[in-house]
Amino acid sequence: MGTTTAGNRNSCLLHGAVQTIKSIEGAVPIIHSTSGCGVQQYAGVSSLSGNGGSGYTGGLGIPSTNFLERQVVFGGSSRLREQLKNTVKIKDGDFYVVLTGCTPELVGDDVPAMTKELQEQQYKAIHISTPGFKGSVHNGYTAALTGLLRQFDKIARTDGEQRPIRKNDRLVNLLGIIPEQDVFWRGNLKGLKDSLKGIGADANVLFGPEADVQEWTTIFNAALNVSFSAHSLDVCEWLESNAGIPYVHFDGYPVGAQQTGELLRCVGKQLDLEQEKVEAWIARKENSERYYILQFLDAYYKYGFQKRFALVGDSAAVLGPARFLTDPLGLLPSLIVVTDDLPQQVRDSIVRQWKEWQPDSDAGIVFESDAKIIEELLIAEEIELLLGSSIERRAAELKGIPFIPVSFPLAERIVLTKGYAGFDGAFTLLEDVGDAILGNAGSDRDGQGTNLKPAFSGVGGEIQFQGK
Amino acid sequence: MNEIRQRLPRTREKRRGALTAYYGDCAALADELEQEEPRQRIRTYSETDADEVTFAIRLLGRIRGSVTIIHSPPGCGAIKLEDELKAGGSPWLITNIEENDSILGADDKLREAVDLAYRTWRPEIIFILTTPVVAINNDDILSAATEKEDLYNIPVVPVFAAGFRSRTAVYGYDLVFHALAKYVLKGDPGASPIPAVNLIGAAETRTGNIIKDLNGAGVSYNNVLGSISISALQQSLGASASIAIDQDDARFLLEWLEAAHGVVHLEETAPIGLAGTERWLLAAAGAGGSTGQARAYIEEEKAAAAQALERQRLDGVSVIVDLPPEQAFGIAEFVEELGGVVVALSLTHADISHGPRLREWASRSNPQVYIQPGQPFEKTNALGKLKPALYIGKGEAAVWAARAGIAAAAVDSVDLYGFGGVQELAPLFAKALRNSALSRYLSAGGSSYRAGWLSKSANWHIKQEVK
Repeated sequence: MGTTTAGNRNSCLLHGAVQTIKSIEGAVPIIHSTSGCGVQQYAGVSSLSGNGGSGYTGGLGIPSTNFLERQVVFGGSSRLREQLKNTVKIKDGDFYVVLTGCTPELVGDDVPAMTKELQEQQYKAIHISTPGFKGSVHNGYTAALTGLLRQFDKIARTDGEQRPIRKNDRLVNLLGIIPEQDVFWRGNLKGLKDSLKGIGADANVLFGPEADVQEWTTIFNAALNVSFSAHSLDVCEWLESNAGIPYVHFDGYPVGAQQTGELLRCVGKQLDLEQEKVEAWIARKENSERYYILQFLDAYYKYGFQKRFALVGDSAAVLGPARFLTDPLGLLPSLIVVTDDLPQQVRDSIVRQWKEWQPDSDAGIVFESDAKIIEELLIAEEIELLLGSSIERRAAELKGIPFIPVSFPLAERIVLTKGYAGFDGAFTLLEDVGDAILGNAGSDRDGQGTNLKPAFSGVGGEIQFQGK
Repeated sequence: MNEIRQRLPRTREKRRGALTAYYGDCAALADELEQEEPRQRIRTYSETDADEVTFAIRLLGRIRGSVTIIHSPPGCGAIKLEDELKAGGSPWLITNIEENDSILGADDKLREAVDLAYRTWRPEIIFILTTPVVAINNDDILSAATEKEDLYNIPVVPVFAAGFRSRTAVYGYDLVFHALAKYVLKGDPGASPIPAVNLIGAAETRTGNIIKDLNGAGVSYNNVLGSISISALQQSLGASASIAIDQDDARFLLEWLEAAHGVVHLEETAPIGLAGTERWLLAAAGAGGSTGQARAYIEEEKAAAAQALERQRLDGVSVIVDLPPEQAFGIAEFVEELGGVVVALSLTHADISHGPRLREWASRSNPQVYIQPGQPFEKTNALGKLKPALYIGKGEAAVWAARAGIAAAAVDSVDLYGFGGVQELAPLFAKALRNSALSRYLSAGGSSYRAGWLSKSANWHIKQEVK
């Protein structure tokens, strides 16, 4: 953040907060900013997240004060008051979250006072300060979540009676999968929830269709928080110091049996779950993974899957897939480009852990968000397979290598339930890698110029009839 | 056109009395727009919508050989990323203004960005697009632009968007055309005359069908649409006349070419539908001297289209058309050509230049007219009361119509214009009506709007502005 970039993919703090809030069932975001802020989020983030759409309350349907010059000059508080009063009458929702963009923050509107007026009318409403100039979309996720938790008493369902929080020893909150910035967020959350279910742990995924209405009421009852991104560490630390919930952190979500096994052993130990049951579930899923890898093995050798690859995307989304492709699949990592803005100590930790895990690997890990610089790095690298965002497609085309769109922005795929996280997510990744390699086989030629595509395809060629 | 001397063009509200909120019928709106100063209205509840920044970004993306520097916090470039990936827009940089830049200014950062743009792409022209934060902190964009222009000897052009000056997003096109006229074309001593008509478009204009028609009609044109080149813009000063596919989008450039360089603006409505395309082509051919060939071509195309349209009639079908004004009027006319009944027009804005079209509709069936840039809450409400058989609009709004249970056709995926557009639009409408299962399915899922709101009048939150 802060330096000029080409092809910026990390958008702003307001957008991160908007997409976080609108992914919670029953939550209504209200943007206090210029009219274009919501449209920029819709067109520039949602629609590039596997063609995400308006959904229940997003798209053009997001309430927005649509700041005008008059509000810049005289202040926008009264316009906000009017908007809030009318939003609760028009938009159906359980609670309302006022998110402030750059303009009202510079003007200095008294947004907390306006929000308080709504609270005094018994509406569940809070304000979170989210000016775009204060950070990226990732910071917006952090700001939205910490804002919600700090003011949770103002949005929680109440039946008039304050009851003590009863801990659920088997409940974990999953944090760090950022809605829409992680293009597979719904599938990833489901994959993690399903994986945890097998060891008897319940997971609050909090966002999307997998999060039932109970989840937000039990967030403080959890026994453990699991963080999959550096951007959820602040949230975990807040929950630890204010609600006494410990946390464990992973640099990215797990993909496949090996990594998911590590996660489950860690969670099982923290929750004091029966170790035999944990191991039995992991063993069962390892067998399942082995079955599918055996099924795919012929294609692996026939089409030359053992390629040198590069992977580009958010830390949370690239590290797990990179590890799975390396071990057990045996591909050769060449370059990993992490595109989210991370503190130096987190960068150091990612590099250190990778080196500890793969001491002989010559893979470079680069932290860079500038699309032009990333393209130059990729072109200079000797790679045979590229996984990245739609921005990186061009580099793959220039090099004539298979490309798999896996990270934000992702413009050329529809993504609804797909995900790579957890035990079964690995199979989806395997299928996607396979499709890309087989799809590219027609353009591959070996040293003698022989087309590697099976001769029977007939695509683009004339059909030869016998006797002609 | 004196405003070329100004830093900014006047907003559409000030220049043409543009309205962005209205609920009534065509006759009443025409009456109001014919007054000296139409009464501005505001919404006491609103939903997000495109602004001048988003429109300016899209148009800048169509200028060939250019690089755009978006001088802003990171989010203001989000739509540019979409433009680049989905429409192949031009290269861009964003200065990623942070909190301290918003207070102390970010002129130095901007200068570095211009250097980086030049080093990386060696462009023909660099645009600096300002955004809300810059409009408030008042960075000295102009001196940075002048300094770098002298250094690199290419135009470095500031486009002063603020995101809050106008309620009409199309003002973003005015800002870009104003900047081109002021900084790139104004200094031109005058291009050599060219025996051609300027064909002018804006950001989202598809060109394939209309270019085929112009070629068929034997009209020589200077192509200033689609992917716009600076050389075509310079040549436009010497053309015999200008015609726009969507004159509302291109109005600033059309008027400036006429006022400053005597290039006559052929005031013709968009070439949509059979009659609309015929009128438009004859106007272009009239200026280009190929009326005879155009007439022959038109007769041939109309005969071919008539046969195809027989199977795509909309006889008696009630339709609401929800689009920017020129597209809405054109498609509504085509709906009537197909036998449909236009029960309402929903426009993104309307101003004095739309008065004659509204008057024409008032004398036909005087349908309802709503002015709703975005605002699904008003659309959902109005559709619930009007219950048309077919909704025609853009995809982003069609989703709300479908959720309200109305069969919806979205025009995003087709080229609307010319005789080819006729052949694309009619089947699109017919398909939406032939199987409306999706909208039936969606309407059973409930609304994100409260029943209390849906029972109120759709214009409940539109109030007259107090000056």
